[in-house]
Amino acid sequence: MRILVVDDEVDLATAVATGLRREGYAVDVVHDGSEALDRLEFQPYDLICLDLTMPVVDGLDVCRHIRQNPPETGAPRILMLTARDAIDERILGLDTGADDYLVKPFAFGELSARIRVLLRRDIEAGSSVLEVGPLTLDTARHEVRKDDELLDLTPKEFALLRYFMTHPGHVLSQEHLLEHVWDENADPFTNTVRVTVGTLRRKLQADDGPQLIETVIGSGYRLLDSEVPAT
Amino acid sequence: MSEASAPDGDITGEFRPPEVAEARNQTVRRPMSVGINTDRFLPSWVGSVRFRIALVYSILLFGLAAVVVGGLYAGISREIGGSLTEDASFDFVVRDPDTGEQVAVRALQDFEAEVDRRALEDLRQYSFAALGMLFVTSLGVGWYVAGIVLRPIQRITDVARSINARDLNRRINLGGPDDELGRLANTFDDMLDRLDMAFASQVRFIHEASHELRNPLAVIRTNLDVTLADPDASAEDLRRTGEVVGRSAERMSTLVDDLLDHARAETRAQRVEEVNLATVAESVAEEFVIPASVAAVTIETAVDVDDDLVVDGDPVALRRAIANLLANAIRLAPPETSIWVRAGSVENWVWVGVQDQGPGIAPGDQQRVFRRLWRGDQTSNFKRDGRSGLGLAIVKQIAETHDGTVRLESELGQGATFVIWLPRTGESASDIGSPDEVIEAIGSVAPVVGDGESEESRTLTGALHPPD
Repeated sequence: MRILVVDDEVDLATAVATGLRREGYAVDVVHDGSEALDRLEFQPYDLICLDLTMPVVDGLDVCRHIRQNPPETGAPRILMLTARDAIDERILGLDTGADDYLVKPFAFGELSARIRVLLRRDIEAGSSVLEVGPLTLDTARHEVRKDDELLDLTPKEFALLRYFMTHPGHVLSQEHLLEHVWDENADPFTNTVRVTVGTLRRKLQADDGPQLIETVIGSGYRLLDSEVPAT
Repeated sequence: MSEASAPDGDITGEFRPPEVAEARNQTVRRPMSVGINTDRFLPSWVGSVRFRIALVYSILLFGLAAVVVGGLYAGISREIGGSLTEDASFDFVVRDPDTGEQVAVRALQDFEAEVDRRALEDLRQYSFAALGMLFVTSLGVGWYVAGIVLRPIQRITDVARSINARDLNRRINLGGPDDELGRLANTFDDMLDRLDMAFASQVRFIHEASHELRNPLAVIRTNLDVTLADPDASAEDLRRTGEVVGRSAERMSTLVDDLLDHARAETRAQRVEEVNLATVAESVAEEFVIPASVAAVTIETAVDVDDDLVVDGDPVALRRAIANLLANAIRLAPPETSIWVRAGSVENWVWVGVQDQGPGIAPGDQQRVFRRLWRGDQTSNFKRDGRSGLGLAIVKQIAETHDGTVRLESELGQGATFVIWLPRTGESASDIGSPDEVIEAIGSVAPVVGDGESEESRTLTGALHPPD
């Protein structure tokens, strides 16, 4: 899950990014609207935390632009963060295309919960728990179980598995995973995706059991969404 | 007149006992008092303007009618007093049929006198009756007319009563002819418009201020949330969070200080004394020498302390206004440039100006810079630099509460000149008009200093291009 944090309040954007990264999201930070639009040109995001009041290009402009020119890879969810709390302004924000609206100052826990809600809308899950085959992933508690057995994953592995579990059965290329699970600091020329998929796969695999993540040669990886192994 | 005393007694008989009257008066709104305390004994409408107008109208009409009728009566009674029978040319003699003597003249005179007396008595009675009827009728007409005339006042009262601090939307909208009451109602509506605008602007300001305070609060809260939620936060992380919180707290305190200054400047100057603007400008400039040198900017003062630049005002507020202009100039001026502080007077106006060689202000923004919470230079991360966006708004307020004004002249890339104009001591702005005329006459918001003839650039505007 890749998130873009847009806020001209540098100290706030940094703290939000730190908190979200700790929850396993890939987070990029920009400080004004035009920079955000530039980013959106070449980078697909799953969600944008958008400050409403920014110099030059403000949050509403960004929001409008995204809704009018949705990226081919699918428009990101938009969560507006703003100090403006009047009802009219909330309505305007939501009507312009925001998916949710959070008034500053906010508790970070609430921000994180709202982000989870927005992201699971993609997969039509009703709660914070994702289930695919024998795997259950609790996005709020950061717990992964396989057949009720708790697995010990690193944050990156957790983030990768969460992304697989929100797209079960889809073939996801290395580039796609790099774009959605790693942030801008990842070096695209390393084999970090392959390595992380490898370690995750090992942890998910029971002794000599079937592979849950299969390699589709020449295309990428796929999380099998049924118990029946496709070997 | 004995008949008159009977109804008088009846009226007193109708009076309620005092305790009943008092109990009634506690529930009924107290009518306007007429100097003496009539409302204790009389119904409330007796104290109303409507009743008084009707009564005065009626009494005046009655008085006039009484004079006319009295005059008529006096005239008639004198005319007919000269008896027909004494008129010599009127040979009216009755002879005694037996003796042939002129006997009946005497009796005829008595007869005529009797006729006159009766005629006068009839006249008197009809006059009294007519006067009495006139009094009663005029009372009624007066009551009716006063009611028509006063009806708009009732409407104004109703509207005024229905208005409270939260709802200034109601208007009288009297319509009708442009007469005294129409003008009163319009004046009232205009006043409500102004109050409404002032109130709305206050509310807007409170909203804006609370938004401004929310941003640093959000920074503090989120940083604390994120850092404290991390069980493995290092001392370095905690220190960084502490620094962020400190920066935000500083920003909030600057903002709160400026908000208070803004609120204070909105009320009229508390302390008014004679202030020499030249002295104030010079001492403020001295205070800014060190901040200016930190920013590598020089402050050039061209103020003649001996000039008679005295205005009536609050010295602290005026100091603050000049200081805000200087702080603004220092913030914007690029290094190795100069800031000029000058003061002078034109006719009845005293001015003090601050000029920088900063980036200047685009024509479209020149009005906006004085708006509160407006920050120029939108491309920078203004939320970080701790400015409240109130500095120039405060300058404007201070100038305006001193019956003066603040003007700006600027060209992009050429710097900006801010000039505060204040009326000279003893002059009231209503007498000397607005400084617009003076400004227009000299063709610049920044006037010439001194004689203006020396080759050295002596105008604030000219100072932008100092001679080499």
